Amino acid sequence: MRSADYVIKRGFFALVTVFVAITINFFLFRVLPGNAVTNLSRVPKASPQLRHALIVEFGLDKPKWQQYLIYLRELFHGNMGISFANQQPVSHLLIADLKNTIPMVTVGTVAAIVVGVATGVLSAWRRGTVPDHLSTNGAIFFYAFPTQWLGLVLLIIFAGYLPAAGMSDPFLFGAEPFWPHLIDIGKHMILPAATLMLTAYGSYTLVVRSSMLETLGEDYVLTARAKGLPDRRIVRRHAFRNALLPMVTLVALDLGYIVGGALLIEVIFSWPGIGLAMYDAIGQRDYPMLQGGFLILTLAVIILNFAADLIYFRLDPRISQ
Amino acid sequence: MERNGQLPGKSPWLTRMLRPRRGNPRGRRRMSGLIAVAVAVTLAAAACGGNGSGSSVKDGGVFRLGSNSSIDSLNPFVAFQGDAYVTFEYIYPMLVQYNPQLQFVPDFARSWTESSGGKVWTFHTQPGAKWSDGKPLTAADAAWTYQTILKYQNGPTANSAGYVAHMKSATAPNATTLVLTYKRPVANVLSQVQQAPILPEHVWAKYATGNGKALTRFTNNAPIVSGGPFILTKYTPKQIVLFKRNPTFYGPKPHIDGLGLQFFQTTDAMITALKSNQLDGVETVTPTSVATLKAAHFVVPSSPGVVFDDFIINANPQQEASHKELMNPLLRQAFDAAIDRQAIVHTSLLGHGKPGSSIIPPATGHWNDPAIKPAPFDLAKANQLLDQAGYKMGPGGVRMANGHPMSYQVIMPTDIQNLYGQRSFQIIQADFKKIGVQLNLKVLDDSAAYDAITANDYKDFEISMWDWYPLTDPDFMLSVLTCVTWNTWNDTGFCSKTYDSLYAAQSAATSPAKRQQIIYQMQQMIASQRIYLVLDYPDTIEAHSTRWTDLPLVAGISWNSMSKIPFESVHQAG
Repeated sequence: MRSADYVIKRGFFALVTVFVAITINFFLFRVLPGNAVTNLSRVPKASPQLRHALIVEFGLDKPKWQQYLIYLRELFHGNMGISFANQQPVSHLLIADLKNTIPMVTVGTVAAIVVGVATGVLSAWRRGTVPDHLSTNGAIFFYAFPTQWLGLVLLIIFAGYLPAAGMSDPFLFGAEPFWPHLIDIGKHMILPAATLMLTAYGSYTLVVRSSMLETLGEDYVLTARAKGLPDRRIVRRHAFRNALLPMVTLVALDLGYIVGGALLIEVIFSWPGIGLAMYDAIGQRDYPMLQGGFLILTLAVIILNFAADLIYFRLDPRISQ
Repeated sequence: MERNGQLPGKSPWLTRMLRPRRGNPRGRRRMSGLIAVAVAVTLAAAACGGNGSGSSVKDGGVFRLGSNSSIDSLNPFVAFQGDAYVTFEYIYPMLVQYNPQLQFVPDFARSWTESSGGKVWTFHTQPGAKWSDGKPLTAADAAWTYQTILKYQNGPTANSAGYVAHMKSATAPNATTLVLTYKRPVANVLSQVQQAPILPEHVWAKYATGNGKALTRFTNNAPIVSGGPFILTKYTPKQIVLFKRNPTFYGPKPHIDGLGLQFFQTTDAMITALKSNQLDGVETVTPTSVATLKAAHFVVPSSPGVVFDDFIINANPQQEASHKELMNPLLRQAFDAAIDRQAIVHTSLLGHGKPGSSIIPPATGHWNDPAIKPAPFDLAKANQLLDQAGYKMGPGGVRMANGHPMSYQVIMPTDIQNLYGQRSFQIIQADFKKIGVQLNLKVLDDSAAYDAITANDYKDFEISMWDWYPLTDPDFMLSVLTCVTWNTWNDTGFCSKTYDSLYAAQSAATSPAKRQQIIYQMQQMIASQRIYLVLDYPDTIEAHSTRWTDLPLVAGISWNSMSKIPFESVHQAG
C-alpha cells in the first residue's frame, strides 16, 4: 500500500509537470522577439496581403489563449501540427530526426557512463596515486572543453581517416548491403559520439569518485577489511553498489536528454538529428516544430525521472520508511 | 558564410529563406536583338565545344559538392532555402538562363519576341522535349505553371508571385509556343521568367484544385519527374541530394554521370572534407581558408561579389525624439566620412573585397552608377561636420545632441556577427569614438533583429549593420527601399513618394537606356541621402579539386540558380 501511494504520488506529480511544461512550451516561444510570418513573408514582391494570409494560415490571427486551446485539443488527438517551414507534419519530421539522433547520442552517453564509472572507481580505489591524479585531472580537463571546440579539433585531427560530416556515405547511388551500411554508419558515428563521450564522462568520474570515497569510509567497509576480504571484492561487492545510488539520477537525467540530441555536436558534424532540427526551428520561429521537439524532450526527461524515482524506491529502503 | 546561388536578401540565414531572383543585365528587349543574341550565343557555345557531344573531354564520374546551405523542401511552392532553388534550376526547365557573361541565353525557350509595346511576350520552346518519365514536355506545361502561380498567388503560390508580377495570362497556342500577356510593360520579364521552374502538369495538376492548399502539401519526393539536365534520384533531408544525368534532356547533356550535394552545418567541416578528398568542390570559401586551399593546390576562383555589407542609420523622419538628430544630413555625412572602408576590407575581409559605395554593386554590370564612389575616410572632416551641426563635445568625450549624449545602439544579426561583422563594428566603433560618438552593439538573431528594426513603425531603432544580396537585375534591390516593403523587406525606415515613382518608372521602362538613367538617379538619391552607408563588396570565393575542369562561374558562382551551364560543362581533367 505504501509503495502504491508512492507510485501514485510520483505519477501525479509527473503528469502535472508534463502539463505545465506543455503550457510553458507554448508560450515561451511566442514571447520571443521575431516570428515565423516575418521570415516567410520576406519574398520578393511580398505584400501586406501575403503577410496577412500567412498569419491567418498559421492561426496566428487568433488570441493567444485561443491558439493555446486549439494546440491542447490537437495535442490530445495526437496531432502536433504542421511545420511552418516546410508544411509537413511535425510528428513525421521529429520521428525522422529522432531516428538519427538516438543511436549517436546513446552510444556517446553510454560510453561516457562506462568510462566515467570506470575512471571514478579507479580514482577512488587508488586515491592519491598517479592513476587518481591522471583520471581526475583528465576528467576535469575534458569536462572543461567547449564541446564545439573539441569537436572541431577532433575533426581536424582525424580528417582523411574518419568522415567529417553526415551519418553515412552520402554519395552512394545504389543501395548498400546491410552490413557495409552499418559499418559505414559506425564510422560516421565515431567522431560525434567520441566528442560527446569526452565532454560528458568527466561528470560521471567525479560523482562516482566522490560517492565511492564516501562509501569506502563507511563502517561496513572497515569491517570487511577487518575480516580480511580482498580489496577487489570490497570495492566490487560492498563499496561500488552503494556508491552507484547517486548515479541513478544522473544517468536517468542524461538518458532523458538523449532525445534532445546534442545540439552543438550535431551542428559541428552535420548530424541530421533533433538537436539540429530544433536549432533550425528556433531561427525560423517554427512554433509547431519547437513545441513538438520540446514536448518530446520534456516527456522523456519526466518519464525517466519517474523511472529513477521508482528505481530509488526499489534500491533504497529508506525512502519507503 | 553562405553565398550560394544567386539569392536576394540579407545575411546568410535570411538568404536561405528567400527566393532566388535574377535579372537582365543587358535589357535586350528588341525582337531582332534578342533573337540575334540567342542564336549567336548558342552558335558560339557550339563552336567552342561548350558542353556538347563530340568534344574531347573525359566523360563520367560523380562530382561531389559540399554546401553550407540546405534544402528545406523539394516543392517549389514551399521551399525558401538556397540549394532548393539551385536544385530546381537543374531538374526543371526554365525558359531562359544566364551565361557566364551574364547575358540571357536559351534554355527551354529557343527564342523569344515581344510585341504590343512590351505587353505580350512570345516564347518558342524546344520541340520534341520529354520529361524523365517519357511524357511530352511542351509549352502547355509552362503555361499551366504560370497560370497556376497566377491563380493562387495570394495563397499557396505566394512565394512565386514575383515571377508573375503584372502578368495577366499565360497561354500555349501550340506545343512549342508560350504567350505571356502583361497588364503593362514590364522591364524585367526575362529576369522574372528565368527564375520560374516549369513543372510537369501531368504530375502537379491534381493538386491545383479547390483552394490549392494541396499544392503546398505535396512533398515532391525523389525520384522526381525531371526535365532538366539531371534527375533527382535521392534526397535525405539535411544530408544529401543526388542527381543522375537525364538522358531525355532537351539541351546539352552533362559530361558527368551524376552530381551529389552534401550539406554541412559548418564551413570548417566542409573545408576539412574537401581537403581530405571527401568532396570535389565546395560552393563557398571563407577568406580565412583561401590561403590554405591554394597551398593544398585546389582551384580557388575569386570574383567581385554582388553582396554588400551596410551600416544603416534610421531614415524614418517620424523616429523617436531621443535620436531624431540621426536625420540631420550633416550627421549622416559625418558618419559616412568616419568609416574606414579600406580598414574594413583589409581586416574583416582579409583583402578579399572592395570598399562599398552604391547599393547596386559594380559586379552586377552596367546598372551600377560608376559616379558614386566610396566616401573618403576623413575623421577631421567628420569632426568638423559634427561641430558645424552644433553637437558640442560633452563629458567623457561624447558629443551632446538635443540635450543627450550621442550614444547609439547598433543592431546586428548573429550571422553577420559570427562572420566578420563584429570586426567591422569594432573598426567603426573605434573611429566613431574619435569623433565623439559612442556605439553600443546589440546582437540579436536574424528574426529578432528585423523585428527590432521595424518595431513601432521604425521609430525605435537607431542604427543597424546588416548585408544585402542584390541580384544581377537591380529591380529587387531597388524595391526594398519602397514604402510598400515596410515590415517585409525595408530595413531603413525610408519611404519617399519620389523614390517610389522612380521605382515604378524603371520597372516599366522598356528602353534599357531609359531604365539605366532612372536607376542611376535612384542610386544617387540613396547615396546622397545616405540611407545605406555601403561598407564593402566581399568577393565571391569557391573551390574545387584540380581533378575537375571547365566549371564556369555565373555571377562568380558555379552552383547557382541562374544557369544550367556550369554543371553541364564540368568534366574530369586529363
